Amino acid sequence: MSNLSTKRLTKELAELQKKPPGGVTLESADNLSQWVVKVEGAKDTLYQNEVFWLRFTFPSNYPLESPEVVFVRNIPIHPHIYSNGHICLSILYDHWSPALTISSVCLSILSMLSSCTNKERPPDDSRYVAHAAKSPKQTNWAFHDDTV
Amino acid sequence: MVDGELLEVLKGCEEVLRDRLSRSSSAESFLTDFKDLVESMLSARPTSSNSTEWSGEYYAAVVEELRALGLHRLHDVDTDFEEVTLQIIDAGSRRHLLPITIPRPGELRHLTVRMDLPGRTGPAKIPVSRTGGRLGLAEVVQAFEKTLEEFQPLWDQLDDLDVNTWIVEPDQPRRSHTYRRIALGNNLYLQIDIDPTSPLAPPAYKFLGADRAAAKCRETARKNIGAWDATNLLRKNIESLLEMTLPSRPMTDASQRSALGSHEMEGKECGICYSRQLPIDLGGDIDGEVNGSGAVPDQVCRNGSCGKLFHHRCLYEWLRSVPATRVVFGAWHGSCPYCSAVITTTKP
Repeated sequence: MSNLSTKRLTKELAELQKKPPGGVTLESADNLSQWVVKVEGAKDTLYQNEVFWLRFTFPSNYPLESPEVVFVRNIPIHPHIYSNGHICLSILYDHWSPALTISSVCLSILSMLSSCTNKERPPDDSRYVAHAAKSPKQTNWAFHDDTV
Repeated sequence: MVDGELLEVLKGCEEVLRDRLSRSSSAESFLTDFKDLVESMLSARPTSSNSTEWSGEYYAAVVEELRALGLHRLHDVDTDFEEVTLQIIDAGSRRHLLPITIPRPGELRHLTVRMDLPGRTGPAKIPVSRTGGRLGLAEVVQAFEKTLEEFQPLWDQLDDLDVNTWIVEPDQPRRSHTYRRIALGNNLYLQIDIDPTSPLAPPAYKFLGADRAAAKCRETARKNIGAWDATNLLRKNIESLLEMTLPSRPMTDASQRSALGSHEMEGKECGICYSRQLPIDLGGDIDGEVNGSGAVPDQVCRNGSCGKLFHHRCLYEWLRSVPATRVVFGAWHGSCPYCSAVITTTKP
């Protein structure tokens, strides 16, 4: 892992431990390349009282390249979240920017959950899950819905 | 504790002891009183009477020397009284801090003084034999003030540069720094190293940045070097040399400088790698100058409300990784990772 990502991840880790955003808790960070973050469904949303875990895997050239972010253990039922944990969210792929942080990514995902009005799997879930690569970053995502 | 020792401790308080004995209502309360008395006598007794008396005198003399210097010159004293920091104001109203290590009593052989002056490396050791058994702080200050005089012309020029131009290195110039890396705009830098003995003479200089632009500046400088006027300000001479006005520090950076606490550092870090100095494994592989390891962020987003800073190398790597970045005549045009405003850089 290069110095570029080490320094930055160390700072992000400290920040996340010191003042995590509401509903976000660092669950484990055994090393600087894979972290698990616990997110809690916001109050008065369809995910209230539900707890989910996001696994962040950082490439060696993070933050030039986006982290791989997937849900693990408990996968929320959401039109943009596949049952294998893959998340269809543009900032994780084409619209990634080094200005984004682990905190801001968690908040974006929480906001995606919060704005959901109908708990259901994506229409193409079974087809996608059957053919998807291990990492969602290898998927050619088409972002057709900017509202959620 | 043997009786003899106890007697020694209680010597001089026989009267008190007798008084307590006569007043005590019970044996128990007398014993409590007695214990307190012995304890207070023991704690008041010097642990090693000889050295205490001696160091008391010693430190009183040190304090006296400090008082003679004037307490307005005392900047700081550490809690163990092992180091005092004096502050000296020079002829140009510049404040200099002078940390001096106070030798322990009985070890008074030399004074260790750390002077932040050009050409000094490491602390200076001044033998005490020259100071007549005292610390000789007054002599040290006098000598330091004399040395300060020598550097007034140098610091006048450097201060003028620091205030009026955009210095990218050193990050926080010390009085010992005689070099400056000045931003000329368009990713071009002029590095000068001034001779402290003749600060108005042409300094050693080199240009850092994109080849073509640097070559052009080098050519201009070569043409104008003959017209150097050693009676004029160094900054004015540099401007004539380059046929340009040296740009001042961008506003965003200046306002961040005045911001307090950690935010100050945050603003100066690269918005991509979050560090101030470029990590070692990324820099220096091409020419080791501008993009070398240790380089500070010198690319700035021109959007006034953003003003984020980036390392040349980090910004270039980011723009290169974005498919939407366009390359026109060697310049990479993309958007700022923070505000999406147009940002342009060159290959470092």
